[in-house]
Amino acid sequence: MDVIEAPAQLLSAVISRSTTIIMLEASFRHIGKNIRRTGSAERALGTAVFSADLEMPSALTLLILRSNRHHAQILEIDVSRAEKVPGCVRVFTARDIPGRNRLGIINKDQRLLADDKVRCVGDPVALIAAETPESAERALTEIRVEYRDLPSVFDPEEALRPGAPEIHEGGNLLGSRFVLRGNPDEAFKHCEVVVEQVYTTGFVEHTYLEPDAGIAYMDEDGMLVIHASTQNPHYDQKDVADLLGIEEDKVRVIQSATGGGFGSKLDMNVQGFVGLAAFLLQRPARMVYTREEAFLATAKRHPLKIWFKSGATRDGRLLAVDVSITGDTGAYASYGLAVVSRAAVHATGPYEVPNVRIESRFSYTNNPMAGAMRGFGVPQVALAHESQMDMLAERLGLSPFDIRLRNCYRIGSTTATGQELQASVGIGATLEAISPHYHEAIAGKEQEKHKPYVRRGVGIGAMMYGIGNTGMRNPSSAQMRLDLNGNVSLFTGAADIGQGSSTVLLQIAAEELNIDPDEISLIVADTMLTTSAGATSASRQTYISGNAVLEAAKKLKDVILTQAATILKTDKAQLVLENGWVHSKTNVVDGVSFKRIAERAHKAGLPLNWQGYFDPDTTPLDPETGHGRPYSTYAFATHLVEVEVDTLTGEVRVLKVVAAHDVGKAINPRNVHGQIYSGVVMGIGFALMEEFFPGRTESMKDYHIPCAADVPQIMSIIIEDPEPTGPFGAKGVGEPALIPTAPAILNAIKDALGVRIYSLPANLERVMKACLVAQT
Amino acid sequence: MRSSFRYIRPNSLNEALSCLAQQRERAAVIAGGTDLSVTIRKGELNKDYVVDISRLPEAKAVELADGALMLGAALTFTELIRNPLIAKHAPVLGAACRCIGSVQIRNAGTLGGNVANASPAADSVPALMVHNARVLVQSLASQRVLTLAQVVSGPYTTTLEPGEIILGFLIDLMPSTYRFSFQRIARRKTLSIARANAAVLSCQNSEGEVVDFRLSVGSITPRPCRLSEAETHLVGHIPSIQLIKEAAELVTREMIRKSGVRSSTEYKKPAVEGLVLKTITDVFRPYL
Amino acid sequence: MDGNMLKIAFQLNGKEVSIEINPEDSALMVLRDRFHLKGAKEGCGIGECGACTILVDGLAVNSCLMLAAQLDGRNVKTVEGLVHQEKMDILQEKFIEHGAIQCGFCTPGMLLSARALLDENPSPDHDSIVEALSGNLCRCTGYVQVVEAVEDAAAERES
Repeated sequence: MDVIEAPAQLLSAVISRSTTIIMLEASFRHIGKNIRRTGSAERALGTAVFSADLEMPSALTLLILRSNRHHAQILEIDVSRAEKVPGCVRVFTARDIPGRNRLGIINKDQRLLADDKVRCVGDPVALIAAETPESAERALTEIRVEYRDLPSVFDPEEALRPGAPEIHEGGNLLGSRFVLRGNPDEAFKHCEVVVEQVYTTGFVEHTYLEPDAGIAYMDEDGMLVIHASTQNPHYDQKDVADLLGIEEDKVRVIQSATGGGFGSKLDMNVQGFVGLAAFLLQRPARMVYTREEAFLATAKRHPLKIWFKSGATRDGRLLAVDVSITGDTGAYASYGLAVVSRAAVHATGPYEVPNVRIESRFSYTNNPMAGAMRGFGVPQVALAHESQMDMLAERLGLSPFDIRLRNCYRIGSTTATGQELQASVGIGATLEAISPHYHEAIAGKEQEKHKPYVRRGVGIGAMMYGIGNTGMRNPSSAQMRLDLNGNVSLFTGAADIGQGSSTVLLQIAAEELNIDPDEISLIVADTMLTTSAGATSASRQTYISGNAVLEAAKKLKDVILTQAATILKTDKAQLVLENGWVHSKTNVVDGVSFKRIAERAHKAGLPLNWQGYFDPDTTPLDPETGHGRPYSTYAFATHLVEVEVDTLTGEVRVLKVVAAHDVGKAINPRNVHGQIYSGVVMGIGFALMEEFFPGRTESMKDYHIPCAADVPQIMSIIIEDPEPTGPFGAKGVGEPALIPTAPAILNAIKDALGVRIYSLPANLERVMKACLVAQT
Repeated sequence: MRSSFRYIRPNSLNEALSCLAQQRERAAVIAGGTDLSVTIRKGELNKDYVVDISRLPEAKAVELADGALMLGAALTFTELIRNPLIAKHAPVLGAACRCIGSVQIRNAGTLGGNVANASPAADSVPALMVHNARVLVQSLASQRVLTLAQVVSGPYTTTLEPGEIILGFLIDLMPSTYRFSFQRIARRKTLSIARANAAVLSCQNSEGEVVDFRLSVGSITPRPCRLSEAETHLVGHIPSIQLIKEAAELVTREMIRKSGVRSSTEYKKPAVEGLVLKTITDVFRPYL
Repeated sequence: MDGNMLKIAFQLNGKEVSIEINPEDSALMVLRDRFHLKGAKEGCGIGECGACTILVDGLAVNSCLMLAAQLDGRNVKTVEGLVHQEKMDILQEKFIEHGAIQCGFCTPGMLLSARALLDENPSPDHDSIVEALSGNLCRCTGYVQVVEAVEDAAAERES
């Protein structure tokens, strides 16, 4: 194993494990390099244009009247007084929607504006378009809605009982997923130890720093143009077109600079509203959510209740797990179905278990909508599987480290869904990377003399994460073009929301064409100019769009080489690309420029715009057994955490985190470290302080995300166990970075107190209670 | 919709007081604006006038006179933290101000505003309580000198009359023999409202007996208070862990007496006892 | 424009400016909507996130919590004023270099908080940097590379 210190980050390291692909590190010019993130100069200067920064003097201000009822039939909406408010241009209700009033990435169960009823507080009921914000606000107070309240339900288990209020037609079960392997009932009989526990997690708010915003207008060609803060412009385009009953090519969605998303900007938040108003009024329309509106109206992380039973042999081998997961998707599905499946498929964690039964069921309630949030249910199930591992270890007298190493996946392992892992299984390597730090932490866990009430603890959390969507097609496409001036352009639909996908895609293209990344023009996330790359979700853009870009670059390179070979009268195999030139490997002096090649190809009628496409090799999961190949590759990670618990007040301080991640190949190590720091800190929030209470959490005063002072010493270690199907061996890291931290923190709290907490967040109240139990 | 009003920035204290005397209930006072701006944004400020006292020299003064320290109400937390007179004579207040909000909030928010806003969790309040602060309440016609408990009558309510402003605070100079501690519990390290905060100021004689002991805990009672039973419990004794634990229990007994048993009590009872124990032991550490 | 309008004059990024405003306008609204300086962002509107941070007389404040009227006579700096003679502030360079910018929504506020710190204390220790940045929330970076960037900027100025 090579250990390479990452420059400018003394605490961090890159560990390479070249197993299946021979990687000539030295030969890479742009891969594995800390290229500056695209767009960072504009962001540093304050000139990057976020949606709320777009000025259009004639734009109407939009405001939404939202439901103040949990569940109610709408009897009447009277907008007559509102429309008489000076400056109010129109008030739209569901009746004004010309197309299909249904939204949703998987289930089309959301209404842009409520029709027959509202299903939660915050449901949009009427849309005001006004000349000024003041007029819009006045008009808002003049709309009269007559409701008839319906019985409501807020508990996902109650929602499935007979007689529960029906939230959508067809019942309250959103969906379920079963995974079966071996014979768990029989296997439990042979287990030396069995541990069984229930875990719960709450609603979590994404709290991206930029509240949702967008602006729409009709361009001179009659095209509806929408600029918005989004993670998936091509989906937005489709749903807006359906909503308005127009062709998709009459809608153009352009991603503005986007101030974080973490899954919440996968849903249509403002896009439909600005699109509707601009289209019907033929005037520019803008909408900017306040933070309060973003809290009220956008998706949350699904609260899960997880019953988990695990059994192991005397020597600590997992023999069986039985898991039952209940999830609350709130009033609408959003990405709920994806979470149902992903939670189930990941419930064993990164461990091989021969006998598995997992059942995952999510239901509708009258709570706020839950949707995609960094990890899609895996951060929740990781709390359960990692607590279980520690509990088994304790019962068996094994160390938390040893039990994980004994059970973790290896090449040749079979997952719960029956998939054989053939390459890039770096979980063992992440554990090994943590090992010295773990043993050092255990040995150095000394008691502070002057503060007998402060207890130290050490904990481990591990995880696996399937890259891309679960058991379904989720392709990406990209184009590379050479223009007549010899300039290269990269076209990708992949929305960069701050995580740095554009930088990575550019590095991949630059490497293949052996050209400086700054020399490549980048066209990103504009539905008119780029084709779909799928959603920026599921940690999929590096792996999936990276492959699409790589294929496009290879095709373009091949054409360039073919043309150059003719011009230079040399064998193609003897030619190399270098900084916009093609020359022979032996004769560097005589070459031909991209410009000349482009001109020649153009005359010959050869295309210079090439598309790349990639769809990971997956198969759908069997509905009965869950068997199949849900993902074509997995990322792995282990975190080590040291905490200090103040037993007098219940305060927890995270002192140190060592985070080892197998990312296949770090295309841009600095960005990978950045994702890891980001995930660790979000994980600290998830573990200790973040919980959204519907109806009570209104603003950032009520909802705390970690600030700079909450950040511990973080050591980030990159493991490179290359993925043969990944671009230059790369997988993904965005969501994996978050997943192990919270379980590791809870295991560390247990280590400190001797008492375990089974619910997130481990807030002051829960930790205090554990401290009191520990003292008795 | 933001509340609308007329903004007035008087050039002198007299002008400000005249204006307030004239407009009475129709006027609100602004200094740093860190609390009032939130009310304005919500559209919940129903006043015709907002009178800005943030630049009045009288409200920005720091003066030593007659054995007391006079602090202008419009001093920002940052100004207080950086002032050497406060570091020397009112260090608990300095320590408390360092915990408030964020740098940005401390650069704008003022001591007078913190008290006038009357949040039960205000960090400056327990500190002012142990410094025996008096509040200078000024109107055009008169000046009143009140205790903090006389000014803050409950959560977010004060006894200030229309036309009156908090002009400043008078603080007893802390003798150098005193020791102090200010500690708080919050959900994150900065930018968070205190779940509870505690200020202790204490003096021991050469035998180690406690001769003066002052304790105030915020966020546990509707009005600012000194925990006199706990204070009395320690005075005259050489501190011991047992004695301090008893004092901490007296604090939560008083908390429950004044605030009743609430859903938060399950946490607050042990945590406030823990916080008080920590804060007091911090002061007595070399003697324990 | 009703009779309620108020005229204020102040120094904005080195230039004397004056403007008529509504008394209830926040400093953030006036900077963004009237001066078209879009660098300061509204992340929460109530002083909890720091995305709207500006410098007033050299001190970092939340412009969402300040009335524009209170800018009168003050010296105001926004992120747009950090560039000096077409050269980026060292902090801007270091933020880019260290990967301290992800989505970039918090960046202008972060930069100004860091600038206020370095102006007052050119060689801050780690804890002072963390304290200075704690009023600026970031959901993307985990703050590590931001703190590194500020440390590096301070070190560079020293050497």
